[in-house]
Amino acid sequence: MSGPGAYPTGPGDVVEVRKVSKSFGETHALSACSFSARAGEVHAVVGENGSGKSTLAKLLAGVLHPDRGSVRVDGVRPANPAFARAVGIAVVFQEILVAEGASVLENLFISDDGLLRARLSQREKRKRANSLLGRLLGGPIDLDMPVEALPLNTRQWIVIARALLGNPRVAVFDESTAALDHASVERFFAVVRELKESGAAVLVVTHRIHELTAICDRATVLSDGVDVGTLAGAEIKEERLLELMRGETVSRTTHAVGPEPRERRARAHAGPALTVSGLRLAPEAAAVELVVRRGEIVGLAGLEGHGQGEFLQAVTGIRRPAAGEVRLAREGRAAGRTPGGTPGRTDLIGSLRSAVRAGMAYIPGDRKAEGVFANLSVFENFGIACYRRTARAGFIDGRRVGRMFADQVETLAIRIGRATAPINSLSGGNQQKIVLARALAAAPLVLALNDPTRGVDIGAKRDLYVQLQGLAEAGKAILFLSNEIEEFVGLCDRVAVFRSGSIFVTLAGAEITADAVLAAMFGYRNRQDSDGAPH
Amino acid sequence: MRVPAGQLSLVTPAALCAVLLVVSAWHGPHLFTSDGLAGAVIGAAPLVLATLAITPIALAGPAGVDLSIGPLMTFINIAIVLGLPKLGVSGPIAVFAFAIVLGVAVEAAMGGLIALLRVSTVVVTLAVYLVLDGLNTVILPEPGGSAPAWLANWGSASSILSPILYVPLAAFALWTLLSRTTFLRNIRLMGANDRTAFVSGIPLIPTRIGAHVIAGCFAGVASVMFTGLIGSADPTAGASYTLSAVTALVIGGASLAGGRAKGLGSVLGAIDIWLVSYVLSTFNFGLNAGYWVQFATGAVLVAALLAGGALAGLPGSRGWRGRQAAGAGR
Amino acid sequence: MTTRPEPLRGGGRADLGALVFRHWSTVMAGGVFVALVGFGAATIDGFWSLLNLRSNLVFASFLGIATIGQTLCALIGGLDLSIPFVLGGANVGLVKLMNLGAAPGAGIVIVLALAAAIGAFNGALSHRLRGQSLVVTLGVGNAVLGLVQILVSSGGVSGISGGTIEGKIPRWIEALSSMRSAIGVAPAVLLWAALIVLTIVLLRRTWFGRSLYALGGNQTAAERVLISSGWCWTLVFAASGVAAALTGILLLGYTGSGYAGVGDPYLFTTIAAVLIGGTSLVGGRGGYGLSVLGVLILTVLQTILSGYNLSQAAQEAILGSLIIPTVALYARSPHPRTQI
Repeated sequence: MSGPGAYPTGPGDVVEVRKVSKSFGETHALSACSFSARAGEVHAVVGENGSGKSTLAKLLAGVLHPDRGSVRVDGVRPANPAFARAVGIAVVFQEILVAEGASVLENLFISDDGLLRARLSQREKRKRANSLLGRLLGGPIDLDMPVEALPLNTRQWIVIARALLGNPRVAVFDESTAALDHASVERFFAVVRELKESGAAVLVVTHRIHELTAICDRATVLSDGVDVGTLAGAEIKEERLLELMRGETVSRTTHAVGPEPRERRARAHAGPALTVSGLRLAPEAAAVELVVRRGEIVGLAGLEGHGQGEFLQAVTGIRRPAAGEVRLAREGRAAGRTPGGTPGRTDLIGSLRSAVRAGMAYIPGDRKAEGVFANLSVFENFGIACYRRTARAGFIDGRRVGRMFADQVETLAIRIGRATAPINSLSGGNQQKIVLARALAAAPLVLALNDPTRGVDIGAKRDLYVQLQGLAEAGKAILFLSNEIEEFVGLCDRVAVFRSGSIFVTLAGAEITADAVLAAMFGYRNRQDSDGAPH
Repeated sequence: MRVPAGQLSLVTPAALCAVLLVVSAWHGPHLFTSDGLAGAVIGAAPLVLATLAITPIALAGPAGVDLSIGPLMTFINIAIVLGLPKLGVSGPIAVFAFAIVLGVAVEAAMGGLIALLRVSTVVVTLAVYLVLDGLNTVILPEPGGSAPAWLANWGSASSILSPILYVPLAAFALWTLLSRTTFLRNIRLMGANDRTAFVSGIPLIPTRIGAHVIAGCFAGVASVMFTGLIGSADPTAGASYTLSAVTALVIGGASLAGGRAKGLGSVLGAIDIWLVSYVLSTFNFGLNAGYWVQFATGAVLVAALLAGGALAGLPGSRGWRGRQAAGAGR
Repeated sequence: MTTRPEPLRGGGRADLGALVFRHWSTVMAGGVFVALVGFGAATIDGFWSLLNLRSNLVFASFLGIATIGQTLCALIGGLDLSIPFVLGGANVGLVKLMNLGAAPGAGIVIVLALAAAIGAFNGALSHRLRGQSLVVTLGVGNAVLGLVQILVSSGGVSGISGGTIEGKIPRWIEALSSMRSAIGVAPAVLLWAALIVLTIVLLRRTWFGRSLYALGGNQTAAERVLISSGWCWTLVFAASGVAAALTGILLLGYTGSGYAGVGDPYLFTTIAAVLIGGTSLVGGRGGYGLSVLGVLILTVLQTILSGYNLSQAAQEAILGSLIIPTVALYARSPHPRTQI
């Protein structure tokens, strides 16, 4: 095994990534990462969400350029996608990039044709397409069919086939098996083996660790944008990989990111605040049942694309699920016991509006997309959510909103200069606090937070954990989705880990450790059964 | 059902054409005489070519509406009528070449701005619409001047087998040839999904500018035909040609979001719009004819937009897998 | 990935630029206005005369009222190309209604109500088509004006010839735009002044007005705080229709006869006024106070340019060319590579 930071180069290295850093604004996707791959090998790249895997793939494809460091394939820098293709690099991205409105055949040969004329004749194209797709799909396909009429599975194959048709020297598959069903995965591995035999360097970015061990020669673990180690041959085992993913993070940060574990008194009012029954995010996904009680903090975890984000949005009414219902307990004066001792009445949530009216608050973490109004001031970013309900004859009640604002600023310890300054003058953490403040101003019963610590500094994060614990003690129910596993420990009473659109396992109490959550994300219910297949 | 991509969208313009032809046969049978047909071809040719001109821009997406086409056409028209005599040039080849060069120059400049700055096509073309519209009136406040003699002769031909037919036919043939090239296919793919096009190595900037260059060529030819039609220069015709061309484009099945448009659809759409104005002219509205055409064209555009066809191809709601999913089989 | 903590800072690069631009444009606009007035006073006889000022104010009020709608549309990220058509339609439509025997007051109410309905349709359809307001309003505007002209010419009572329609315009409608009023300034100007206050108050002090800014700034975030984008688009375009129709009615009083093409210049002048004032076409930034400044500048500019025989068409060309640098500065889309 080679340690972090060292880049063992040797003869036969086709891919050389040296001390590459790439940032997007305040987000550092890769930090001095080094990596290499040889011709004729299958090299896996493994890591959690946000470890930098996809950024690496994009750098190799020529889609992005590194801020620092160098990326070389066969000694050449992939300056743009066309050039990369010409050099023999083929990348299949996580997003299935097909051109809607075009046929299967056209989608297959986008990269290959010249400016005015195709390089291959129609007949030749069809011959190759038919033979390759026939092999990949296990059956014939109509090449003239518009690609948007095809299921996800087939579209993924088309994108893979597009890559293969170029006879690549370097093939990168970023989570390419995500959309494939089980039978297809086997065929995919056959393809990978063939590529390897043809002398290409094959990089497989994946989270399906169990599959890796079957086919890859080496595996590099990325964590927080850094390469933390490369395993070879027999060293490649799930525990070692998971350990590497976890270990680096702990030793790299100077202080634990997670909240202090706190004892919480057993809550007197432990009635259910939020009840989710029979919720299916897609017709083929399994049903999700979840009850969140008052005073509980339930964490939502999962690898990217496994449904936890969509679940949160379905719960808040933003997204319509394929089936199921979400109910919120009615609190306050209206809540009470109906004769017979059954729990108080509930409100059915059908839209965000009805959810908010029923007492739900949605707190987004992607501030730029759905949280913050960059064109408005700090005060207005808070007030915009309360203007309407506090208005008098349509006019804004500035004084009342101002009081609410001052209250929240104090409670949440938001560091602001002038309230009329543009929101961008605040740090990310304080901006997030404003977003939280405006949700809290409505005195909700249930809070649904969607990755609220994204792009937030450690101080503000700790403040948030303390806030959430305080809110829980006051009787609110909290759903907390996060991509940073450490956050769940000590903060959440339970953690629901999502896989394939439904809850895979729910960890509770002392079971909640970063190791357990991580393992669950990758499909391991119990660390003990390491030789058993994951689910 | 096995359906090649985009085939279905021709049903609307074709059906509309059939209906309008039936109405014409009943109310204005003059259309089906040799003289009438010649007049039809002369009258429809500028619009057909103008709609073909804005088709590659619609293909290139997003928000690919070229509002400047009308004033651009009249701008070149004025240049032909007023400018060429000053240069002492008047032969057919020279006129066509001049018109095409001018059209390409303006369109390429627009395309370059849009591609390099990544700004909205419809807003930039609106700006150019205003600039050219103003410029046209400044240069020539009232309709006037006269077209080169040979061109005016074209415009008054009474037989359909004259250059007035050959030019649009040749233009359509050119379009058909172009549509088989990978270049036009690249334009279409870029309009359908620019991310896919980018990672597949399609050079986005040259492709977009190229789409505008093609537009400029057809705009130049359209302008020559327009000059032949009216025999002079008219600075005020721009607004109505823009409206008609955009409506024809939408009827023809083009998606304003990009990636979907067929040359044949645009041609049919333009013929439809011309037939609408022809049918209206058979009703003897007298002075009101212009109002009827304006109303009808606007109403048809709104109807087509209401039918929602203009946004075919936009991604629908997403499944739980986020961007990767569009629902199995949908 | 790691995220370094951000210190409390004075502003990132992007918003600094926007901040400077916002204030710079207001300062520039103010400076331009002063410079123009000075230039006009120095070079044109009678510029400072009361008559000239009064007539400039009347023209400004026409443009100002029409620009209310364009400003509101721009704030949510759209544009109303139907303003010239609705304006002209109201202009001739009212004459026709009065010719048919309707009381002027009733006629005005009908025209304004129809304009509101047309605008609401514009807004709703544009919203449904994901903000394609330019194409929608182009179609609707043309259809409306064509229809109005058809209806106006029918019935044989007194129709349109050459686009104009004659009729008996009540004294009080004419008086609205007349400068010979007892107060010293035309009532139209007072109406504009009242609307200025109303619009600015609406945009600054009501929840609806602030919702427009939020919507223009970040539509998704606006929907998360329960702002209904559908209603906003519908109401804003409806208001634009009403403002355009109102302008058409005032112009009727001013010219004394109806003319369908009277709205033509108002396409580029309303857009130019919005731009010069500093409201972004992309949405979320600006306001009506700024547009008023833009209107004043345009009015003075038009006076000066007419003095130099620069026609309206030339102004259209010059002002149209302003759009491109404006969108180039802050309406650019991200490169596809960042969207994968």
